[in-house]
Amino acid sequence: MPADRFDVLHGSLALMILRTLDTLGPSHGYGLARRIEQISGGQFSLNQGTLYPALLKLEQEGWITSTWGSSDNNRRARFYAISRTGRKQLKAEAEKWSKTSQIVARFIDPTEDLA
Amino acid sequence: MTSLRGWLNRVVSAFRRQSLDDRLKDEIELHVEMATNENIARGMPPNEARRAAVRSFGGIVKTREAYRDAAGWPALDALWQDVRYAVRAYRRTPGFALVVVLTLALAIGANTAIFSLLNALVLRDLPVRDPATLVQVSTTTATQGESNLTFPMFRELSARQQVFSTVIGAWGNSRLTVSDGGRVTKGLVWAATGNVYEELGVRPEAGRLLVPGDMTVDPPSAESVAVLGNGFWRRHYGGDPSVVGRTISIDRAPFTVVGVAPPGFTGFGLVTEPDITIPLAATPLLSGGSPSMLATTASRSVRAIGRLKSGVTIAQARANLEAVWPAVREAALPPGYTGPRRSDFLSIRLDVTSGSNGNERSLRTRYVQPLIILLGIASLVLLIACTNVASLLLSRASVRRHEIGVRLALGASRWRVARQLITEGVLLSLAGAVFGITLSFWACREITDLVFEELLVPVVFDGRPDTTVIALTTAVAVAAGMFCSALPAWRGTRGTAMEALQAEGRTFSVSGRTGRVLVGAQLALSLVLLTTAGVLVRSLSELRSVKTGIERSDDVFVAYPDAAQPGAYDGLDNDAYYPQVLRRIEALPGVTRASVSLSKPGTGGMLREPVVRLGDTQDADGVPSARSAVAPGFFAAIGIPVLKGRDFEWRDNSRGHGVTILSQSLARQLFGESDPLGQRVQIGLDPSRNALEVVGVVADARLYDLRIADVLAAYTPALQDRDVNYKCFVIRGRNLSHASLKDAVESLRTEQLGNMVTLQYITERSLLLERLTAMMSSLFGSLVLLLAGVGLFGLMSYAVAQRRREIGIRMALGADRRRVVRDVVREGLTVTLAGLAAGIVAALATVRVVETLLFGVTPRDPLTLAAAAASLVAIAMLACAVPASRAARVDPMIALRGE
Repeated sequence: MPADRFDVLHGSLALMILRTLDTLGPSHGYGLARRIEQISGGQFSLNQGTLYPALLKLEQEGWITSTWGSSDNNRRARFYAISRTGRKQLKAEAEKWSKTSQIVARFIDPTEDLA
Repeated sequence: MTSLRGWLNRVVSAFRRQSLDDRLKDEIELHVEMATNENIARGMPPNEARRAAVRSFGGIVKTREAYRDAAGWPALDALWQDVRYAVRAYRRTPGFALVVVLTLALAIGANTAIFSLLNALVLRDLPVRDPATLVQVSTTTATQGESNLTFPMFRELSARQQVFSTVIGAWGNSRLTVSDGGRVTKGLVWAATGNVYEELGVRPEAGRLLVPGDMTVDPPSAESVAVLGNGFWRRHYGGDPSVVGRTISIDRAPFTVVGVAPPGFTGFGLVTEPDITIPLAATPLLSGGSPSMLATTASRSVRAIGRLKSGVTIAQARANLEAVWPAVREAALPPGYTGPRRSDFLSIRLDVTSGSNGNERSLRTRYVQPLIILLGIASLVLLIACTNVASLLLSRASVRRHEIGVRLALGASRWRVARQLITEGVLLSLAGAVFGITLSFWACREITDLVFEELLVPVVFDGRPDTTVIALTTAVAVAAGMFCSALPAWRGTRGTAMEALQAEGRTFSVSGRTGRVLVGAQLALSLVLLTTAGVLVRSLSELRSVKTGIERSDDVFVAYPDAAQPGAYDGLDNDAYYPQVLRRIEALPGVTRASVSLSKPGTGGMLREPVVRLGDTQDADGVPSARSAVAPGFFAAIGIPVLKGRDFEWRDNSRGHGVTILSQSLARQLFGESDPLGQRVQIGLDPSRNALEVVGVVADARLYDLRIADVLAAYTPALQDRDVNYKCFVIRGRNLSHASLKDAVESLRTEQLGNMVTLQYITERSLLLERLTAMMSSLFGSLVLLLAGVGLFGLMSYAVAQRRREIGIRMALGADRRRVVRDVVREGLTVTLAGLAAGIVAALATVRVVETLLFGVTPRDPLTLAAAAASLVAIAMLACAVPASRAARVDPMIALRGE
C-alpha cells in the first residue's frame, strides 16, 4: 500500500515541518524545504517532493493552514502557517519524540549496562 | 494520527481530485522555479540549474501518487477502480449482465412493492403531530361485532377518564349530497370535535379550521360551520380563497364555510381526504334534527381518539378506561332500553388500541396477512434469484480462471481479487435495484388502483415506496449482491496462481460440486414456491366453482339509486313508490324481473342477527343468521327458488303485519321436520321484528360470502324496514343498458341513478384478494420456473463444455451417441431429483402458513405438490436437452485435436 511508504517518514517529517513553521513563521513550500535541510545541517537530504503530501495531510488534520500570498520576488505562492491546534500537536509530538529518542539512546549508549 | 476531521476532508477531496492535482502542479512549478533561480544565483548555467532543481525535488509521479493518497481515501479510489473494471467486463458480456439484472430487478421489485404496501398500510405513522401518543377507543359486542361509541358514551368517557390530556371524537365519512347555489355534487362528510385540528397540529390553507367553541351539544349553539378539504376545494372552487364565508348545503342543512384544510390531511384514515368537515355536534342537522338529539342517541357512530398524558402507557390507559367503563355504560344507557336490549347494551365491551398509524381496521384485517404471505413468497423469489445469480457468477468465475490466475501471479492478494468479484456482484444487484424500485412504483399504483377501484371518491392512499423503503431496498440489494458473489469469490480465488494458470482450458473445475449444490438448492426452493402458488391458484378456482345457488349471475344487474335532489325522499310514500318504480324498470326491453334489496348482494354488507323461534320450545339465544330486507320479486330476479309458501307481496308493506321468509337451512334448524309456515319468529332486538310470521321458505344461496356453505338467512320485507331509502335495484335481464335504466328511474323525478354492475362483477370483486394473491404467486411461480431452467441449463452446458475431451475419447472408443446423451440427461436429472426431494420436505413443512388464505383445498394438497414437481422435472428435461444434443454432436477428432 502506498500509504505505508508515506507513513515511514511521516512522524518525523511532520514534526520537522511543524517545528520549522512554529519558529520561522508562515513560509512557502520551497522555503520550508530549504530551511529543514539547513537545520539538519545538510545531513538530512530531503527528497523535496515528499514535503507536499505531508503538508497536505497536516492541513487536512487542521494543524497547519495555507493561504495565497506573494513571495520575495512577487511570485504568487501558497504560504503555510501553523495553527493553534498544530502548536498543541507539536508540543505533544515533541514530548513523545524526545522520550522515544531518550529511550532509544539508552539502548545505543555503550556506557549504559543492559545486563 | 487520523482524526474524524481528517477523514471527512479526505472523503470530500475524493470528489475534487482535479483541483488537488492542479494545486500540486502549481506547487511543483513554483518549487522548481525557486530552486532554479537559487541555483542560477549560485552561478549555475540556466539549463543545468533547472535540471538540478528537478533532481532534488525527486520523482514527480511518485509525489503525485503520495499526494493523492494523502488527500484521498485509498479504499474509495480502489472501489472506484473496481467498479470501472466491472463495468468494462460487463460491457463485453452484455447478455449475461442483462439476464442477471432482469432477474434481480423482478425479485427486488416484487419485494419492494409488497413491502411498500405493507409499510403504507401498517408501519407508517399518520402525518400528524406526535402520532405515537394517539390511542383509539372502540367497542365490540358478541352479536354485532366491532363498532364505535354512542355520543353519550363518548361524553361520559371523556369526562371520567384520567389518562388522556385530550379526547377527540370523530364521525364518518359519509357520502352526502353537497350543494352550493345550483351546483350539486357528492362529498365525503366527516365530523369531529372542535379540538381535532389543534391537537393534531394542522394549520389552515385558507381561513380558519374548527375550534372547540364552534358547536356544542350543551348548550346547543346555532351557528353551523364547515371546513373544506383541500382536494375538494381545488376540484370544485379552483383553489379560490374567497370561498371562505360562502354558504353550502349538506343534505339541505346550511353550513358556512370558515376555512380550508391543508393538503394531505386525511383525518384518522389513510385512504380518503374528507371533502367537508363539520362539528360533531352538527351531525343531527344532516337528517333534519338538532344537536341536542345526540345526547340521547343509541347509534354507535363516534370514534374516540385520546392523546396520552405524558408518561402514561397504553396499557395504563386501557386499565383506567376499563375501570371507568361500567359507569360510563350505565350513564349512557339510551332511554327506553329495557329487558334484552338493556342487557345487550350493558354487555358492550371496550377496545383500546394504538392510534399512531390511523384507523383502517377493515382494510388491515383483509390485506395485512395476505401481504405478509406474499412478502414471504417474494423473499423466496429473491433467495432463488440470488442462488441462480450465484451459480451464474460461479461458472463465470471458472471461465475467468485464467484472468484471475494472471492477476494473482502479478502479486494481487486473494482478497483484492475476491473484492473485485464481489464488487461485480454488488454492481449487478444495484442495477437490479434501480430497475426493481422503478417497477415497484408502477406495481404499487396498479395494485392500489385495483383495490380502491370501487370507491367512487378520489383516493389519496399512497402505497408507493417512500425514502425508508428505498433505503431499505438498496441495503437489501447490496446484501444480496454480496451474498450472490461471496461463494464465487471464495471458490474462484482458491488455490495458487500456478494452479489457476495451468488449469486453463483443462478439466479443472471450480463450479462442479458447488454448482450442483447451488442448482439443487434453487430447485428445492422453487418447489416450495410453486407448491404455495399452486394451492393459492387452486383455492381461487375452488371459490369460483362454488355453487352459489344463484342462477346466471351475469344476467343479474345491481344498480344504486339516490335522491334526485336533496329532500326528494322527505314524505315519500314508499308503499306506493316501490311498485311504481319497479313497474317502470320491468317495462324496459330485456328485463324479466326487477326488485329491491336494502343490502348489497355479493359482499359482506349484511346484518347478522339472531333468529328466535317463538312458542313452547323457546331458545333464548336463537340462531345467528344473515338478515336482508328485500322487496317482492327479489328471489325471482336473483334466481333463488321459493320452495314453500310464497314470495313477499306488495301487501307486506309498512301498513301490513310483519312477515319473514327463511332459507331452507335456517327453517330446518329452527323447526326441524315440522312445517315452518305460519310459525312465529323474533329477529334481533328491534321491537318491530319481535313476532314475524313465516310465510315462505327459499333455497339456500351464498348471497353474501362464497366461503360460507350453510347460509342461514332470514329475509324481511323491505317496506317493513326503517332505511327504505338506502337501497339497490336487483334486476334480471339481458342487454340492459345503464342509459335506459337511468331514464326509467329518473322519469319519476324522485331518484337519480348511480352506477350499475352485474352480480357476476360483484362476485369477482369479492374475490379480489384471492385473485391478487393467486395472480402474484403464479407470476412468481413462472419466474421461478424460468430461473430453474436457466440455472440447470447453465450448469449442464458448462459441464458438457468442460468434458468435451472426455466425451470425445469415449466416442472414439466406440461409445454411441445415445449413451452420451443419456449420461448428460441423467446427470441433470440427478441434480433435479435431489433438489426436488429436499424441496418436498421443505414444502410440506412450510406451506401451512398459507392455510388461512385457502378455500376448499388443504395446504399439503398432494395433487398440487405432484404438479409442481412434474413441471420442474419437465423444465429440467428441457434445460438438459440442448447441452445433451451438444454433447452428442461432439466430433471425437476435433475434441481430441483441440488439446
